[in-house]
Amino acid sequence: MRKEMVDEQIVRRGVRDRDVIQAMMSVPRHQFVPEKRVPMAYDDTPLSIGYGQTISQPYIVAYMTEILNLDEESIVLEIGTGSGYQAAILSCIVKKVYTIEIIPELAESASLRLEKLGYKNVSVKSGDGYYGWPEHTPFDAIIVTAAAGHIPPPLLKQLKKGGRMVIPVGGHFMIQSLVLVEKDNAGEITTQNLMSVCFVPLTGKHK
Amino acid sequence: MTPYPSLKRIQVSVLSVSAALIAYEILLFKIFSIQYWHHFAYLIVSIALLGFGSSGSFIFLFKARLKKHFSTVLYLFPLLLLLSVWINIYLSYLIAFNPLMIIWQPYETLNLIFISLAMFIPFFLGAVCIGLSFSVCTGNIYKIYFSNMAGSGIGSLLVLLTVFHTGPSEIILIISIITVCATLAVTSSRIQTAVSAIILIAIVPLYFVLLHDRPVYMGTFKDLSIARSQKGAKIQAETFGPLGLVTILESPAYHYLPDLSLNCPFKLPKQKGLFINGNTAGAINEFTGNLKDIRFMDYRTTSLPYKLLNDPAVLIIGGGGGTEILNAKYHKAKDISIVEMNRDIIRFIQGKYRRFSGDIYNPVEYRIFAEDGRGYLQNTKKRFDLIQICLLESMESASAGVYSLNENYLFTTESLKICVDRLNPGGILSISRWIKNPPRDCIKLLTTAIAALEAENASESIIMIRSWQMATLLIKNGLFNKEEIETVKKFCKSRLFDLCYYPGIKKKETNIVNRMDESYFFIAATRLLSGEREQFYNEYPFYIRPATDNRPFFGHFFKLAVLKTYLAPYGRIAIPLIDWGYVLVWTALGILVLLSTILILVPIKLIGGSPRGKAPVFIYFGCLGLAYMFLEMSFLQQFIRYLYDPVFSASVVIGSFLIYSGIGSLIAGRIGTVRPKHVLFAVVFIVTVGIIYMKFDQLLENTLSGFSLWMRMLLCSLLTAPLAVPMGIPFPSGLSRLAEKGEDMIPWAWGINGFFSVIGASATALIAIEWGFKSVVFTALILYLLSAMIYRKIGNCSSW
Repeated sequence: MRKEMVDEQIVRRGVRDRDVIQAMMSVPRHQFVPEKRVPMAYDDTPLSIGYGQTISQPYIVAYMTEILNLDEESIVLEIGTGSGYQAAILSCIVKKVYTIEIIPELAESASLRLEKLGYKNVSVKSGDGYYGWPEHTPFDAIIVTAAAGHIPPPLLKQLKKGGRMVIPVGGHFMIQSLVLVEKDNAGEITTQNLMSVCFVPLTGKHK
Repeated sequence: MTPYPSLKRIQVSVLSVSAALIAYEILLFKIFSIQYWHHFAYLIVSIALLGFGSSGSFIFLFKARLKKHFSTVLYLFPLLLLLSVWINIYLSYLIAFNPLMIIWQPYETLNLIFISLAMFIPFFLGAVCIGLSFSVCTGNIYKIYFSNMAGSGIGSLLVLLTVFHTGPSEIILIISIITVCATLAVTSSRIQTAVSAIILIAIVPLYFVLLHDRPVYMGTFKDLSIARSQKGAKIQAETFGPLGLVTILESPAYHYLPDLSLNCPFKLPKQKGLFINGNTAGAINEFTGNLKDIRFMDYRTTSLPYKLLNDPAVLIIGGGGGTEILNAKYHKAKDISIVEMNRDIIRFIQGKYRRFSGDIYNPVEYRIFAEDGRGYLQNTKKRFDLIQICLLESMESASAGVYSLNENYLFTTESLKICVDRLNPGGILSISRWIKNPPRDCIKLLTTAIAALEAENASESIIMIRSWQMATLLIKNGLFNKEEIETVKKFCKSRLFDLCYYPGIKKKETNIVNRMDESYFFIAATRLLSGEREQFYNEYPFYIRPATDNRPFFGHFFKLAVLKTYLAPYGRIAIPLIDWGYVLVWTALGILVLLSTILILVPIKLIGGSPRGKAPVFIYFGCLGLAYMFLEMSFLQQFIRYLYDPVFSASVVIGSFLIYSGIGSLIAGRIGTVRPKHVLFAVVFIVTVGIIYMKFDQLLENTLSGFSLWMRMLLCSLLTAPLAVPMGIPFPSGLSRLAEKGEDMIPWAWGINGFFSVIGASATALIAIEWGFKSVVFTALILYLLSAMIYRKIGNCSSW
């Protein structure tokens, strides 16, 4: 089922990064969803994990990971651990993942789960991700999966020059697009709206 | 067989049950708006109201037995209704329906069905009492109908006005007392009287034990539920008012300022979360009075107009938690007026949060108006240098399309024209909206604004800028000059905002910092301001024609082509792009039509008998069911504009319509035998008044605007009379005519009318979205004329 998920939902939709594909193949997604949702774990859908949170569609997880341009030396910060699935995917690719979850119950369960499944290079903290994790800055990449009223200025400060941040926009169940924030080597910030599909521009034609 | 109660007692019973049912319907709508969202509430309540139509089929199938035990039914069914209402409260906690997952997981549909069926039962039980009364009291149908309508009117007024001081639990207590009173009116033995009396006495302590202070269950996916589960979060204050549940959340992790610049160097203050019906509605910012603490205000898109004005007189529409008030204060506005419709928010901030907020609703320092923004603008003679219309919905709610069915009279071309009229020469109107993907709101805002500025050099009077998730549109009463444009450019450059449009802009100046695939807003503005407007409307994948008072659905963006354009090629990834509110109403309509068809046709099949001659009955009562709802709901909308307050207008219109229709029924009863010419006269009267009200809508609005709210309410109530009184004649006249031929078909006719009333509610929204409310009224008038033509034939139909 995992192979089918990767082939149908990820590769077919254009994700090409081998590390990402490999990670999606290796991480047991069904271990990160509530028991009653296990039969749907590999479906092309977000799933509720309680407390109003979700585990994102597999494609969204893969796409967000890919666009961060990670390598084995990367240090990544994740805001919004949730079930820990995204952190697990990241941990297969990068050197270290720091992940913060504001809902204490989720933080605890994710931490235990990641430990049990052997993802040793992930550190989970329960707290407010708005202020990032200053003890371990700067970060090569930051993923903000928690609902963001705005991009927290402290997080921007903790992003390394040349680093990338990705934020899904639209709420947990209705991700409309991804915003990629880049800090160039001069420290200048730009954002780019990455739509998960190529949408029709104003001329009325498909891309 | 127990002897029937007297007519007066039956009337009291029908009146009480009717009051309880409509009160429960309104309450359910309010509760589901908290638990889920507005259009899911709409969906669930629509299906639940099938109970009315189903009761007709039930009575029709078992009429002999039900008539034999009429007294028992009138006594027992309200008690069962009461029991089911209380059980439903607990069921709402048990059934964990997540409406957002219905798109992804079909099993959620089962939860929706369970909820709808649970809610269906009280309506079914109550409607059996009313429908059976029509069947039994065939010689007094007009009086029974009067009791039905008057009871409904009283019930709606009771809920809509007591909601100022009571919560949902208290309203259930009131409904319970009314329902037990219905049984007391028809007791036929001492035991029954004793049982009812015991229940009546027991309700109050039971209420305190089981319901008092019980919070309304809120879905785990709502903004407030999510915010509450965060570490350190707790609800500090909450109140249930006419505009919903207002909640203030204390949470160290609450950070809300959507248009903040990426390079803002200043810290944000502590904030308290403000929620309405569980949806984010902004924040209350801590303010000690030191302007240095709010320097971040200068790094927001909504601050731009302050760079173009000196010491402005400012009007803020939608004061909310006070962020824009602080913005005005920071920028040294010389005069600040605040319009905030939700009195509970004002009360909280003037009371418990006065110190925390820096007294931002100080009535000495600021002018505060607890009324609707459009209404204030319509009435005021004052002129302003700056009018700020605030954003009061969360990105999550906006993305889920939960506002697509909401009527919004602030974002229409007529309203924006009024706004510009209230500006001093050189004054600016500032409106901010979320940027969705693909862009919709901001594009529609542009189309509506440009339509409002028609023939007024629109291209020189608008400027739009954006951050990565929010856009701010400025509309000037005048033309933007070169110095102002340079100021805008510098503002954007220093704060990492993007220019979308200014007079003379080039495409290469856009889409630089916060990049999208295209310079959508630049392209939209230039095409709209050139001769390509119609072409642009047609080509754009979403519905972005200007919203008007006749079609005030600013949040509606759905086009059928979206399904083909996105879902077909891209599959489930494209699901979040659809505005599901609109789709859900169609779904509701489809379900209602299907179920109604089955429940109307099944009795015919089961009973057998010839369908010959039944068509006139079907058409007559079906037309009446649709037409009544169409007119009632259309004039509800029209009167919202006259009264500028949705709560009061709902009270006035619904209550007045129902009570006056009841009076119409009494008048018809006095005539004796109602002939076709009487019905035709009533219908012609309805049509004439309906046309006059449509034609002179604007004149009525202008005339009424000069009066106080209470006078307007009285006048609006009186205005409904010429329409609603004759509307109370056709239905009971039709039933009486059937009764003359043998009362067999009365339950079936009652059921048909019930089904079509429910269908009418959904259909009203859809017709209004597509063609405007005037089309709904026009359709209703045609249906009334059709029913008048059919009336004489229903007397000729064969019985079963």
